[in-house]
Amino acid sequence: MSEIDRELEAAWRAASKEQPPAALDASVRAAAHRAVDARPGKPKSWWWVKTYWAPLAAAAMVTIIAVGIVQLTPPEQVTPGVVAERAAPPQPAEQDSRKPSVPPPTAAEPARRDAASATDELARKRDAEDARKKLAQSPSPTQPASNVAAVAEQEKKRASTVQFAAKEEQRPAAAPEGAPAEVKTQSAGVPAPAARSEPFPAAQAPAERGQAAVAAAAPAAALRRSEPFPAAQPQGIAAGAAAPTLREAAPEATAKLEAAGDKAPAKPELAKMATMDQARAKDAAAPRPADEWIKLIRRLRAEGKSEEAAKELAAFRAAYKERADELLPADLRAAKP
Amino acid sequence: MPASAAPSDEDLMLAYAAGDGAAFDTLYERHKGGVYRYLLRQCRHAGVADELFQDVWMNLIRARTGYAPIAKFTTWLYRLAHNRLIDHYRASGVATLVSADDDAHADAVAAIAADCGDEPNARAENRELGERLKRAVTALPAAQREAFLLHQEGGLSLGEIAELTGAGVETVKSRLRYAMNKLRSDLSDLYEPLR
Repeated sequence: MSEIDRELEAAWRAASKEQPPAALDASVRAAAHRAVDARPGKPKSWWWVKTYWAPLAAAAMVTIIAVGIVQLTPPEQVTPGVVAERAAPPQPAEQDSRKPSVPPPTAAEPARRDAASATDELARKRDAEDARKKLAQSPSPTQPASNVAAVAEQEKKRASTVQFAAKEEQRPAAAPEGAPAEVKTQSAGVPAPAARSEPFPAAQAPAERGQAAVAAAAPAAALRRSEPFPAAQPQGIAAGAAAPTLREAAPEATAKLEAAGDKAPAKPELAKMATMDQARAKDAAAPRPADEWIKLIRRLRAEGKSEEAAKELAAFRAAYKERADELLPADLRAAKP
Repeated sequence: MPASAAPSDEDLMLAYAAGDGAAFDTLYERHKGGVYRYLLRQCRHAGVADELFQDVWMNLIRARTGYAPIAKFTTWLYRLAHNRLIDHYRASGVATLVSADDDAHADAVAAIAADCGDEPNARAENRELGERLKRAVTALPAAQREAFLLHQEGGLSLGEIAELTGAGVETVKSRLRYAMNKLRSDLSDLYEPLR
């Protein structure tokens, strides 16, 4: 290029100085920065990278704690509402009107139930003793021998029931919920459902549970509420005219047992007491029917044990008093102690 | 500040493609004037030049991820501007980039130059070299004007202009020579003492 070209270029550079408008500048720059900021491949902020795990960790922690609480909580406290709702039997309106309203079972219900069942056992045994004594003291002159035999049979059955209940009480607390319900159900004279082995009673099948609740809770609970001795109810019915109800027959024992039930002693003590009572009941409750007694006396006499035979005869007469002569055969009737 | 310390256009463009907004600012500051004047002189209308200028830079922003420094950044940038200008010409149907060698347009170019120079008021008021020069450049044939503007505003070499316009290097050289001769001729009264 020549000297003129250099002058021309310099003149051009001096003259051509136009610039884009400021608004256009700002628009272009903003668009460029927007494009960079909204870029999908742009690395995320370090804060997010550092804290993205926090919500996940929090959710995991909450889940672990919840599962742990559920695992460690006793089954009754997991769903107390459900247990209470399902355990409440559908009661007829007649019963409801007759009985005072009972609060629904709470979390402390099992312990109270254990104490109550043990108290019931104790009461039943004492009541049986008293009834037997009364029966022995005042045998009805018009009662036939078969009636006496029926009473003895009932006593036997009840003794076996008491024995079973005591066994259940002594059994280590493998199924703490099932045992009291079973005892109550049996004492109410209704076949007891199988002991529940599942850890959560609320998880029991609704139908099965409902039947069990209706079968066990309705009569048993009704009797327990009206009578402190549910086991004495069939006994009293069987005894009929001799002793209309055991409450009438033994009011002191009833009062004592009610007081004992209110105190609600500890379960091991009650179990021990029940065992002792059971042994006592075994000794005292063996009612000897007249036929057996007569056979025993004859056997003793045949064996030459005349003294013992005389004792037994005297005891027989003492037991049956006026009716003794009627019950004794002619050969023994003549024999005087 | 030594020149070697300043990042090259290619580095700045790569940095911007990687997400560095500041690199774009530097790049834009370096080249906004040249691109704007190139478009303004070519389309001869400030409003259209603004629109084309914005489009050129938007195209650059959109094409940033595909940028590869296989050529000078300036060549790439002015190619974008050149293509946008051609699109504008095609859309408006007003003019096309033609060579000054095309005799069919020679009369039109001469008419523009004569019109600018023959105006008595303009000649009286715009004694300034710059103004006359601008008019002279505006009056150049499109191809010569483009070669002149790319050389003066973009700083492109003959080879780069040839590559950008798709013409041969010799053709570009010839266009430039014609453009200079025309300008020299238009401004002869001012440069007479230098001759």
